[in-house]
Amino acid sequence: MPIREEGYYNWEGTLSKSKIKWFPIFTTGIKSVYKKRFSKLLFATASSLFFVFLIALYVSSKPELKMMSRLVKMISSDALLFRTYYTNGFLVFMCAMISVFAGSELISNDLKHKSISLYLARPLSKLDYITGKFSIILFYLMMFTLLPGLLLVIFKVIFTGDFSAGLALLVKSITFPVVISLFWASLMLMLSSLSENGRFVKIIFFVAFFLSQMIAGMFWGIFRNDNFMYISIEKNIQQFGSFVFGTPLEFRAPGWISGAILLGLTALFLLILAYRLRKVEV
Amino acid sequence: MVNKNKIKTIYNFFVKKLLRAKKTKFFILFSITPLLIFLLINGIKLLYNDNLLAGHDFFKNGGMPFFFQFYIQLVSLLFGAAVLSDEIDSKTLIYLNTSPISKFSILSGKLAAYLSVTFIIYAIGSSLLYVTTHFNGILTKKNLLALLQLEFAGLIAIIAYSSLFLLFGVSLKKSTIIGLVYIFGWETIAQILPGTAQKITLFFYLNSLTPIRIPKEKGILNISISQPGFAEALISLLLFSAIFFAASVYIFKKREYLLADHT
Amino acid sequence: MGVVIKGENLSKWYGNVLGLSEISVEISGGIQGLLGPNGAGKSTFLKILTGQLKPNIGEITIFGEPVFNNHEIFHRIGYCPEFDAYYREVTGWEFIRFKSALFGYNKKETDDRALKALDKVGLTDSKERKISEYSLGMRQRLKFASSIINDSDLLILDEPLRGVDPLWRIKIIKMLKEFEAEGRTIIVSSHILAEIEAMTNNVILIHQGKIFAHGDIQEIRDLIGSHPHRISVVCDDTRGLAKKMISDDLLRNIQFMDSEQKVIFETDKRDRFFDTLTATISGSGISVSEITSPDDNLQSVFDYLIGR
Repeated sequence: MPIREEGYYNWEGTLSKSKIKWFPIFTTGIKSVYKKRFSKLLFATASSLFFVFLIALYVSSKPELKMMSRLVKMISSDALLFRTYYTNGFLVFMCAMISVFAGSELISNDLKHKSISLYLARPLSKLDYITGKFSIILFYLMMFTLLPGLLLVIFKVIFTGDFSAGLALLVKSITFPVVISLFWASLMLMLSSLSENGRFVKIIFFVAFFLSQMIAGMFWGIFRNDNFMYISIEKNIQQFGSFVFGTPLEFRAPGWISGAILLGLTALFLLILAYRLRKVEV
Repeated sequence: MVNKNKIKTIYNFFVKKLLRAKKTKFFILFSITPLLIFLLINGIKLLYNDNLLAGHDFFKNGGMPFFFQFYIQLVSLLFGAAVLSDEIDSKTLIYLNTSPISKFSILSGKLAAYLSVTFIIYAIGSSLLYVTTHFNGILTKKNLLALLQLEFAGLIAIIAYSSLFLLFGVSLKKSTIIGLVYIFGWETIAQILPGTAQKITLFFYLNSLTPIRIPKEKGILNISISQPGFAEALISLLLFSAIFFAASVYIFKKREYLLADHT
Repeated sequence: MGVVIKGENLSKWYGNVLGLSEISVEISGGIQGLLGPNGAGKSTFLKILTGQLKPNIGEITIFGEPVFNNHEIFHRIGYCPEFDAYYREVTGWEFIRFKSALFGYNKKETDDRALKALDKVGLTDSKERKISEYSLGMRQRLKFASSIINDSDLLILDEPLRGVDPLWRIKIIKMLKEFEAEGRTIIVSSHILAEIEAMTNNVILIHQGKIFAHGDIQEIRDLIGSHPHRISVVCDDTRGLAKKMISDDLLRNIQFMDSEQKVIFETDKRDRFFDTLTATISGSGISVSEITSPDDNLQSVFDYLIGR
């Protein structure tokens, strides 16, 4: 071993290049969201729907129990199970709450404390920065959508010994929550990039969510035309879910348009986000 | 000790500051959303040679729920909770706390400023909508009185909700989330709960002040309580506001606000 | 001047973390430097002093009055906070005028005092610009201006020179000395010892929530028995000088650095040593080119006291 003098000396090692540069942003973000106050309460509330469906699944395997008949009927087929779970109004609202909780201050705090330039002064591109932030919201959203969905499948097999869904349905049951999570995450991050005030971002998010429903309801109430339902975020999610899983549609209009709207909006939000970050000086 | 001049100084400073803020401009635009929707709907109807939408119906079924079940609550949450929360977040509370001005004066001046700006942005949207939807006959005594009552009800609603959210902002760290849970959680659920749960919402009393009652959801077991009279509702809301404000001042006086990491 | 600030047995906890531990202090007048490393308790002490925090144990009074929840006392206090906090959307003038108006002056006096404060810190020309457009140094000067509006009897300055350019540092230090000459009491907290040394010899050293030392730097230095004073002399006859000095019982140690023609004396009796050295040099005819005291400064006092 070489004998060195005290003080500075040259390091003769090699710098390892990290393959996933945004990974530290992701891991730090996950931990900081989990440590927030009320996180456990929020997550417990969001998980409650899974447990209700779990009980209903069990009940559906025991017809003699004659409980929760309405819900049992709604999950009588695998397609109905996924569709009912993923497009349930409560879960849609909880996805909104999780997006706000996990994501409202992700970029707004960085803008407020002028720390975006600190990130970008590292060997990180703006894409790495966005991906890292995105992944935090996606993680939590999919933890309460995709993961419970897959667990329901497993439990269904355990309780009933039967899973006639097939590969196609399995793929859809993974793709749908991913698409919806991408939508929520892009909306949240875009809003977070618009203001340094986290409180303002949270409120704007809820304004967008509830206002879309209100306006859709107003137009529908006046014109009685189902096409106005495309204005509502919640209705689009439910309609797209029905279209994907091949179940009766929410309203009388093509289901694929809802998917196009959600994907189109996701792209728009990402463009706005990229434009906002382009303005940040490094 | 209450020093009116100092309250006035705080009021003037924060009104000016708020009127320049981005969020104020956004909420002014937001308040005219129902008006834009009304014009858009009638534009579409004109295009298809359809009968125009009756203004009064739109105002009753669209405008009123928008303002009194959504807009006022959100704008009061954003501005009311921000009275102290913004000072804490931006660490400017130090300038107020180390000036010779009482905590009561600080909160009074700031709340008055925030209430004024909130009312202005509400009044712009609501009055424009009312005038547009009641254009034929707006100058009748009945409509003018209804307009006055609409603005008065809005003012009382803003005072009540802002005082409540001020209390949240003074005492809680996550005041926005809790405020949102209150608005979209408690106030919505309480309307359908049996018993007197509705009386523990501000909306229950507010509905008695508005010129047009906002229809409520049928409760569980189809039980609904009768609405209080105008005077009772007004006194109740002002009393609640006074209690929330007094509690806010008390907490503000007693609490320590750590604005930065201690060194 | 009587006692301005009196703290008795002050202790403050943040949960399980002890911020201050049984601090008792009396401050009478002049400029007092408040020193300590990060986490020492300086800002905690200042927050208690300015009524932002209440001590868990003990009492603090300023001009004989309690501080917490006593807003009237701020007629006599000016405070410049540490953090870079400012109101967006307002101009420098609006902010200073607002601060001035909070003292309850009439309109003319409010404007005059605000203008005077801005003028003192050289921001008159920039007063109509928004604070968000100011540089860090300008914002710092604005904060300082807000603390001197009311010609307060007590000025509490937390890192007042942070971000300020060298020219304005000198001007502000000069201003503080003028305030001191007017009879005002000034507490200055800083990490930068050289700044404190430029302002005052009176210091309060805080470390780990306790006051390690309070008083004149030289007196504190003299009291540090475990670290004798070191005086370095560069001359043409180091050994000759040492021979003449060694007979006295002043010295504890002598170190020669022949390559630099330097001799370093260690002594516990600083004042007597210098008397003897002066007499020896003038009597012996040795040519001396430099006499320095490498550890007779605040940094050394600080290092010795906190055990570095």
